[in-house]
Amino acid sequence: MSAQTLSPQAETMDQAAHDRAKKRINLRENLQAGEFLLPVILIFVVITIIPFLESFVFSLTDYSGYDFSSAKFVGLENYVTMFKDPTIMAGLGFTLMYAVLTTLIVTIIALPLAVVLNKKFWGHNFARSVFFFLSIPSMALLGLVWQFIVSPLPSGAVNQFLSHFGVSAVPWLSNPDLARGCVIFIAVWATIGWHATLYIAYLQAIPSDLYEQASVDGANGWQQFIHITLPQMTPAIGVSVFMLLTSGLKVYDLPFTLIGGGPGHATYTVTQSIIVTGIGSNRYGLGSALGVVFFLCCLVLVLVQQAVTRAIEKRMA
Amino acid sequence: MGFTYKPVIASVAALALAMPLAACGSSSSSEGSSNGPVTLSFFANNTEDTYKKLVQGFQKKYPNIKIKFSTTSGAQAGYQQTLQTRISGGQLPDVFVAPPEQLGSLVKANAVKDLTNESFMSRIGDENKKESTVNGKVYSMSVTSWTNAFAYNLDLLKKAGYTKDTIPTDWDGFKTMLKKLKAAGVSEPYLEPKGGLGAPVEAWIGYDSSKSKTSIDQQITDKKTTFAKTYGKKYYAKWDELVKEGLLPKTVTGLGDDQVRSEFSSGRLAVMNSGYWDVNTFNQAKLNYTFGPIPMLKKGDTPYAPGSADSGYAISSKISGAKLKAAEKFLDYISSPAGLKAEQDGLGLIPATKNYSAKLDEHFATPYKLYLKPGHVYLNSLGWPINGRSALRAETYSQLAEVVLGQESPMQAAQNLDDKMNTLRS
Amino acid sequence: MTLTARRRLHNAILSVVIILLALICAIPLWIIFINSFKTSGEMMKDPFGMPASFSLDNYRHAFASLPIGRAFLNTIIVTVLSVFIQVFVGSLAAYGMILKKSRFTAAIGTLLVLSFVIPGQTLIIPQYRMMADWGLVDHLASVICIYSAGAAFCYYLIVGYMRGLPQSLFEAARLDGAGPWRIYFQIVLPLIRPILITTIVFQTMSAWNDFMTANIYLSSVDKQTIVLQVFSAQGQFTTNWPLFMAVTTIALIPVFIFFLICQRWIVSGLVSGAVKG
Repeated sequence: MSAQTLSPQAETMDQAAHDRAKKRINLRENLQAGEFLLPVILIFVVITIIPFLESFVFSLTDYSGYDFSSAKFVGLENYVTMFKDPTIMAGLGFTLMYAVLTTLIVTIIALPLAVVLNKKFWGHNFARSVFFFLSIPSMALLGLVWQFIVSPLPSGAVNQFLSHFGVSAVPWLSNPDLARGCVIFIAVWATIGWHATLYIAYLQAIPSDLYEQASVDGANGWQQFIHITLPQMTPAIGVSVFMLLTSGLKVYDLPFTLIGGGPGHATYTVTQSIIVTGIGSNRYGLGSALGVVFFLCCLVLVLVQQAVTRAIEKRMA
Repeated sequence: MGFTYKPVIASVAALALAMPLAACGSSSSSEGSSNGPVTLSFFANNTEDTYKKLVQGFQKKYPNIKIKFSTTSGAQAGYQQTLQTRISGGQLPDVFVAPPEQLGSLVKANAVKDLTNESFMSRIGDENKKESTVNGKVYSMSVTSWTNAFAYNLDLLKKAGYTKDTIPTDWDGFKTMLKKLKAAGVSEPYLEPKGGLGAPVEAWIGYDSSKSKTSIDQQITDKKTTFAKTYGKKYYAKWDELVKEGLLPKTVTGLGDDQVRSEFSSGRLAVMNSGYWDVNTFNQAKLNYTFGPIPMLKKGDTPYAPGSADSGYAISSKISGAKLKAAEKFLDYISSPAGLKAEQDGLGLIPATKNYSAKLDEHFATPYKLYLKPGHVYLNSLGWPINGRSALRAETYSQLAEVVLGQESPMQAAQNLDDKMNTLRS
Repeated sequence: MTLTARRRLHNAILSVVIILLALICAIPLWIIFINSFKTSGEMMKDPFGMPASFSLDNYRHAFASLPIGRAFLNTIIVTVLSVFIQVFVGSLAAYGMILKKSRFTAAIGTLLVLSFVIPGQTLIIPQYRMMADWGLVDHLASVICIYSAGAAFCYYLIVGYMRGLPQSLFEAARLDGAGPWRIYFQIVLPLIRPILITTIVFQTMSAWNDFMTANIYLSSVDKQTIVLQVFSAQGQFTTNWPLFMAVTTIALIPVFIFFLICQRWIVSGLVSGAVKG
């Protein structure tokens, strides 16, 4: 049974009966969809929503993170403290900059990379695996290795390399602007492979006859990319941008392991505030309050991004 | 068609898949009520391998007591968070390592037993006891200590005319040496990592604090003085001379511990702040080096160094009877000469108790004599409010980085620390 | 030049350029690999140079002092079960979303987006308290439960892909009288194979590599996963980096092989053929 077979009958019915029938079908279809959605909702509510509500309760107390029964209700005090502490807000600027720039750069590089890696050439399996694997070792380890590579000392790998061309040591990690640049560069290095892999998967869904037709019409590779690949990939770009943006806003471990949020506060992030000022200082209540406020900010950003994506998809379709 | 149970089954099955796994390993912790074998859960911050000698030695001595070892990997911060999380979930181990930073919170949460009157506590040094004391009672048994010391590359020092015995002990002499090293072609004679800026400051405050009843940092916490009046006016200003006189480059704000260690190991760096934990690395690098004093502000000041007692062992306040007796026996064994030796060998920590004299690598003889034996170590954060110690300590490094970069004066850095402190006291 | 010759030349240039680029990008991985054969002192002396000799001491030490075998077994159990739950639940949800476009499903879609913006750090203690109430702490089941929250992530990766498929395929099957479950297993799953495999790969990597959750929940030595062994080289004051790198290498070789195998399944002619109609 489907909606199509019912509609001719519905036309002959009066408006009320028509509405009722429509509602019934609607309900049934919703229930059917609900069946499939139930497991994810169950897991989501139990593992994420309930704990998050609990952490909201924590944010109204002076909970230290040990024994909750001894915590006191303090109202909005944590939220007030948060805005009084100058270092907590220090991370906001870099976090936004990081999220926006990594999203932009990774998207611009990963999509063409995926198109190239999707071609059949000698060693394509190996190349794909290498790009994907760049970010797999733990951040603690990658942070250390990169520290040696972009060290501001003359002995750093990049500086040693540059010295062959007579360039004197560049203060990579000890200059605030260069340090921000290094963090973003390494983040791009670490994530392009992941996103290229995602794009490769989505590329498989583009019907090959589209390309065949274009080839017959004499379109070159670049024209095919612009007129076929790009429009067909809008959903994929939407997914990838969303992932980049949300993980970018929550960034912590890369700038922390690489330069500890420094120099000074140059690469300090919001999540680092939550950890250092709140959770790591036996002030779980404060950390939770920070988490709640940050959550609300991210939510606004993400909903805007989603709306924009949907609008673009509609225009492309 | 209606509602089928398939998805419900699917989702329940998904979660249930995990359940049988839970059942297979469930061991109860309520065994050993009177005289049968007792199982003690022991939670530590190092691998099973490093504790093997200690645990085996103990079980050999007391075959009736079984130690169920559990651990968490990663650095100190990881251990603290895991311990905190476990306690929040009511999963308190019987015996566990209690970091001094957390002890106050542990006492507040009623998690640790008062050890003040235990017989084995008489072996523990006064400094270590002091750091395990909350409200006049001792809650953990700390048997080892750590200290910083400067590592000196003797080959490089020779170029500037210094030997092991003529290493300067005062600030001006130290700066003169760095200048001579620079003149002798050592481009960067002294570096501090970004997470350890202001290395000698704690030594200076330690000495000045030893002259009064409460430490300077405690006085700041008690609002009797401020960071600006102490750190800003004196200590940070003195340290800033390194920057002003070109002896500490701006690059330090981007250097990790391991890079400084690497510069020293490769023989390019003459002096760095270090500790016993670096002995193996330096020996493997086949350096001609020694651990020496940290320069004090004036000639004749008693040498102090940044350092403190290591994390102590605590007993859960929730256990009693045979289990408690077993736990006390375990702590007694840890502080016995056999236990201390096993701990030094396995964990590489330095025992600092009254009943044991540690044999250390010869390179570390001077700091052991200067700092650890007399207990002349000082850690500023121990005087600060418990909540936020680590955040404030991290902040000191960030502020000093701003000073090195020339973005603020030592006085401004100290004032910013005062502001931060104000948000912590509440 | 003939067309095939030109194509061949083109491919050869492409091979050289891309492989060169991949190798440059892989320099940090190379540094990790060569340093795993050094001593701490040797590494600190020259982090970029080749080891004096390819000594296997770190590897030997790892196998002798750490429970590597047991840790691998635990990791495999955790990874297989949690990835299965996540991908199964996530793909079901994505299909449910395609099945009906209504305010109801749109609302759930928006709700699931929340899981991407909640800062995970604030959830640690509430989740732990819950697992402790359920008696799951220090059991593999606890991490499996926590990882299963990744289902929302899988849902999101898959749903975009499904939307791109021609809806006429489902429609046709429905007209043939197939129930939604049959359509899911017989038509949807084969159709979404590229994204399904990709999602499996992503979630396998993150479960295999997770340190945070495993470190908090699994404290008994016989329950620990392989990544926890990697971090055991990290001491209070310093880290034995060469050992760290050696255990990392041991831990990652299986997943590298896993990825190489899965790759063939991501890219396959099957889908583009089926979608054509």
